[in-house]
Amino acid sequence: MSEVTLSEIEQLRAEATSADAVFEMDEAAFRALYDRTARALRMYLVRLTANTDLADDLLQETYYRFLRARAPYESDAHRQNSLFRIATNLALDSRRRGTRARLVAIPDEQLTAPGDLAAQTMARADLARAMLRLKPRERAMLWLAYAQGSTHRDIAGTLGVKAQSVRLLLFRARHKLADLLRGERGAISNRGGAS
Amino acid sequence: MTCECDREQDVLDAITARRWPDRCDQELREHVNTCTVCKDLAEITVAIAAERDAAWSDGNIPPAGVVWWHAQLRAREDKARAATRPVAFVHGVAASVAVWLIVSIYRALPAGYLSEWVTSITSSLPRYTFTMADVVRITAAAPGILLVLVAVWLVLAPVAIYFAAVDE
Repeated sequence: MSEVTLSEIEQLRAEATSADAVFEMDEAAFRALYDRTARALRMYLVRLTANTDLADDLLQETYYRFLRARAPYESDAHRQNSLFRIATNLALDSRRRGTRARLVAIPDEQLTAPGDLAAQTMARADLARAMLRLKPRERAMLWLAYAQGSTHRDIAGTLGVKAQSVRLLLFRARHKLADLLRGERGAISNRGGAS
Repeated sequence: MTCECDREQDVLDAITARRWPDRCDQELREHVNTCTVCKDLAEITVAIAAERDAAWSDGNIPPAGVVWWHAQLRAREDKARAATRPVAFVHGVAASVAVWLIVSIYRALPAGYLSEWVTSITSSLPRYTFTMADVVRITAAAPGILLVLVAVWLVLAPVAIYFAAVDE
């Protein structure tokens, strides 16, 4: 068995210290923040990209950029807004680079499942299709407002728009999505009536 | 078409508190039926909230430790890359300057000067061919030289192999 010299121990200590100092935040604080935010952030990215694999990649990239930013944060809400802002920019960038959203096929057994599950699956598919026809910023805005419960000010900060414009933009996006949802439901009932 | 209604917050509160539609005021339900702003709001909020609740358990989130570890590795790689970037830049600049100097010197020389110079150097070198007879003659004159050379080779070769293996 090889013996470890004193200088090797000092070198290992120095490496460990430099690894810890890579980010401003320590591991325990990161774990706590991650546990509070990761699931909501992943859901947001999935809705924004409509691609679960891409959303998983962007989730890791979001946390990496957040850690690397070494920015001072006033509160947890501030940290969370920053995470959503990074995630939004990454999702929009990936779209610009040409990673297009794709619809995930729904298994037949789910569509023919009895009771609530089939209805819920249909409703989710309708919403997913309708959301895909919105602009990414509209999708992001609606999700932040009605799934995350973000304020207009937070939405403005996350999406980089003026706080005064959020109300009008939200109204338009909501109206557009409502029309699209009614269209989806109408098309399904027409198909059902024809068959 | 107006884009806001005074009752929007009431509708949102009812949906958030899960009172919508059965456990809220009849008056609010009637208002939503007649107000396009609140009707869209109720429809979209209910659909998105249902999607959020259903999606909460979809997919696996990677453990925090794994994400932290990946981030650490990437940060170190980025740091190393950033540290070598100036060195690579200086190498590039030095190579460019060297190429530029060589080309400038070559172009500054009169035509044919370089080939004449090379010819003069090669012609001034002594011409000597080393044959097998020379080797036999040298070893016959001093037989110890061959033995010393073989002994040195036998000692140095394993040492060289040892140091190469230790580095790996």
